[in-house]
Amino acid sequence: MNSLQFIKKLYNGKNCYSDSLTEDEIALLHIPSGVERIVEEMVDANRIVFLTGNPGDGKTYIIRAMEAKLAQKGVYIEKDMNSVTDEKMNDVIRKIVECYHNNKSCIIAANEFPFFKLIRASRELAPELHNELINVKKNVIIYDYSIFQLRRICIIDLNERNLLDKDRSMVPSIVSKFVELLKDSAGVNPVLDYNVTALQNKLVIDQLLRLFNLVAMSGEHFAIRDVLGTLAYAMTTCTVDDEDINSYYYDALFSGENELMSFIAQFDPVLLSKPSLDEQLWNGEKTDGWLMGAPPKWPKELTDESVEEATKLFKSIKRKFYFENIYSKGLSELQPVDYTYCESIFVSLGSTRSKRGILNMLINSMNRLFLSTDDEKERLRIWTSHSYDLSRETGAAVSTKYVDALDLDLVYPEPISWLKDMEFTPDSLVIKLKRDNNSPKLEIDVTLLRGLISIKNGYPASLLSRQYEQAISQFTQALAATSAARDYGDGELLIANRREGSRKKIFIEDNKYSFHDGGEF
Amino acid sequence: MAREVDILDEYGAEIGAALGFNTTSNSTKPLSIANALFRSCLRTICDTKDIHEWIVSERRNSDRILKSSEIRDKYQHILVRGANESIDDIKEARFVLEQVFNPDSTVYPSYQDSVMNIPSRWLVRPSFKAEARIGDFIYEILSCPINGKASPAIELIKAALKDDDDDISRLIKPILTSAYKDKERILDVEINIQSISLNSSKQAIRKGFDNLTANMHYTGQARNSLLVLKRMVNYAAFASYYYLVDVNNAEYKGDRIPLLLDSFSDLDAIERASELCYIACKKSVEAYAVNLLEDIIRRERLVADITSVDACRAFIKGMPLKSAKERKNARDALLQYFETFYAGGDEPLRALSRALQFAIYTFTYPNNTPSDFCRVLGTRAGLVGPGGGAKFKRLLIHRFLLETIVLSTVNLKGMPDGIELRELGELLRSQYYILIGTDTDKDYSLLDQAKIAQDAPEDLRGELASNARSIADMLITMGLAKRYADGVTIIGWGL
Repeated sequence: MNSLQFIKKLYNGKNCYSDSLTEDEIALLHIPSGVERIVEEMVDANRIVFLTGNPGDGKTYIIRAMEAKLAQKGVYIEKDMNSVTDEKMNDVIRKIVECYHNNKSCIIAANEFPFFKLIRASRELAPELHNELINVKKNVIIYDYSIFQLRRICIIDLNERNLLDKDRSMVPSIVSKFVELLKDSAGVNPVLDYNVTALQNKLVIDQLLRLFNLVAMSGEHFAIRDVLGTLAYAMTTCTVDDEDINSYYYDALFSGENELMSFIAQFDPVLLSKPSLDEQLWNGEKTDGWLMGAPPKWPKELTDESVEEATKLFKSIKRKFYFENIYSKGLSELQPVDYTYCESIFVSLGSTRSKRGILNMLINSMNRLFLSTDDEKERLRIWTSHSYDLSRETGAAVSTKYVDALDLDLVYPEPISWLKDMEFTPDSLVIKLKRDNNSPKLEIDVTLLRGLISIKNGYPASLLSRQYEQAISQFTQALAATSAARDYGDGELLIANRREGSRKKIFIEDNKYSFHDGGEF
Repeated sequence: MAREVDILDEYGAEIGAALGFNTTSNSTKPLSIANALFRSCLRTICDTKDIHEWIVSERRNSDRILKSSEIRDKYQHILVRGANESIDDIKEARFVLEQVFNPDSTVYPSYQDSVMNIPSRWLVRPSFKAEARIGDFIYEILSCPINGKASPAIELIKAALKDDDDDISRLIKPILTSAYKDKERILDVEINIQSISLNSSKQAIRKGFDNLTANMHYTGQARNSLLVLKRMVNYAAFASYYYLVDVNNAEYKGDRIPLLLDSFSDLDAIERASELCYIACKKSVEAYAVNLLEDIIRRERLVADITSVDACRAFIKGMPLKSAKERKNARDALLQYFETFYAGGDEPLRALSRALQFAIYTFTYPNNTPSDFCRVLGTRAGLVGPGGGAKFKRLLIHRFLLETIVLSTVNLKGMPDGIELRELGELLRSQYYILIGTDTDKDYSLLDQAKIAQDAPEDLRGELASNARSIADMLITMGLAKRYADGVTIIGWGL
């Protein structure tokens, strides 16, 4: 099989199962990852390594790539817990326990569910192993500083590995590897040659990375199999003998059918519109800035023949512009603001000042969930509503306390120190009390984050799913029980009319009411 | 005037007594259940007429409602500005207080008919009709000793009710402490607890309360008194619905009704099958009444020969009925029902029981049948939907109730590693006969046995798995589950 055929088959899982690859093919596909270094270190230290993750995450690949070394060390290897029947599970656990007590290394590769079954089975059979497994599992991803000490067991969860990591994305490495391999096929197909040339260009790679960064903000996990398949399809589908398949990489990227590509399709430049630019691209007036040469034909020229063909060409040119024109930044900026802002949040969290601004934005959006007109962003209000009838929404909420923004911290998850080399992009934030390890925590995943950003941008809070409102409410109620919760002062109580977005203040001083609100909200 | 004897009324009352609660009040709301349940737990009631005076605002037109000027005069000792407080401000404040304390429309101009949504012991008032005995029924199950112990749910509820420092209760503190001393407001009451034996349905409910209590402690939800009260009342409302549907199986070995929960995911076959389950629920309630009536007729021996058609006819012709029913030709109608059922192939006793059941809910409770009760209570509990005037209802699960049901089914503390969604499906099936689609073959076959699958669109089997996935999505967002990319969802806490 030549390199072109090999890469073509990476799409949709063909050729992506490491078990079926030859050693040469394994070597051909070798893309260095931080995880390999970690596994090597752990094996050298005779640790029990659990390599977990989802199908296609590369567990078998990592083991196969190290097979010679592992054999030399006599490491017990279980490559696929999926193939271990329930009856044989205890045997595997016994072997692990043997390694555990004899200071020997072993590697167990397991998809998440078989790993779950292994942990459950170990509870009775090997309590010591079970307890350590549970402890390690809980401490793999941490917030802030952790004092957790690695002992005999390490768990490397490839589900946490984000191949689209902004700083250590594997995308450029994979593209570069494919470009190298496809050089053998120069002259086979002119579009393939075009793709190979284009994908050596910095701007094209940067735009590709931006696109993948946006996808990373979807909160979904993509296996290396998905990334390999997507890039393989984008580059080589032009060689498939089917006239309906779009050929150029910039079109192919949005026309494939794997899960990753369905997410990429949400950011298709065709969906972005700048009327003046669209007009120029339609009429053939945008002739400057093209890195790979201006389009040879423009949609306007096809209008008389077929509007359908003209539209198809327009879409293609717009994508080409997005990737290959030096003025494409203006179009990139039109990508959905909730995604781009979400991305920028994760980038800017390192700066104290930015962090404060982000926290204030989140506080304001959370306050608006309960009272749509609330401008408060320095104090997270604790709203309480209560009703027993689930057939109707509760219209009123009461707030007597708040937590000051200065008492809150915004942190994001990180792998524990021994996993630092793993490609990782945080996909959630946590709001908690400062300097309080037992603080209630609110995990803000990217979906909730995007929702809160939308509220900040004026979308109605009712668009955010009720489940998130419930989560935020539970968090603020838990905060109410802490010493950080403060009364508003002067006996002030707020009552929100959530349907109307209005608010009434009532004061209770010395057990007496004062109803004068003192102005509009 | 001598009381008129009426067999239909008496049999109707006997059905309620045998069931343990009344299924004939559409005005029963979760707060009505809460009042009775809380009263039984605390064995106290409170006089909160003054709070009622405050929160029934002038937006309603009734002579019984105090004007804000009268409120100012009467309560000036709890107003900072006393008699100088602005009437408009008081009026506005009463309006918002009403929104807070009457979210479920259970407060009326009459104090006697009202129950206020106060999340503490100050809620509890004397018994009123809309309670329908449901709270008492639930309490009887909770207090029934198992291994010598009542349910721990009672203590949890009591502790939550004693906590009146929440934001909502704080709003009424000045009123609460103004007129009486605490002990004068709170009166002890005698609770008449019937000693009951737990049939299989009641055992499932009791197990549910016990699990729910343990899980609320385990997850820390027990620290939030408002959540405890809401969760317990939510489960009580669901439990009474479940009991109605399942009692025919528990007492008469009737068919269990599969409760296919629709996850609200636009799955046509699931929607239709869930609608059919809902209809089957209502039929099960009717079947129970018919079986019970058969028992009553046998026991009372008022029919000379229960195998004889003529004896049954004679019984109908001679049974005492109130004159009002006679005027509505209830006897003729009853006779006609009987003849129709008998002609349809029923044995005489069966035909008579079915005719009586029909007549009871036509003439004794014309506006409040158990079916209506199921619909109204089910909707308020978050089990039946869509709400409003939707023509076709189904078992459309609300996320809060789903969480409640799951917490009433699993033992989170006993499964620190979690259980599979499939195992949760088995637990739900075994405890409540609830189906969510976790085991396509098994769930489909149960729907098939119940003659529901046949009338649902063809792709029901395929949609069951999608439904289970959507249910799992709901549990994931609640923090009660985690999905792995190999498609398996694990249920548990802190996974």
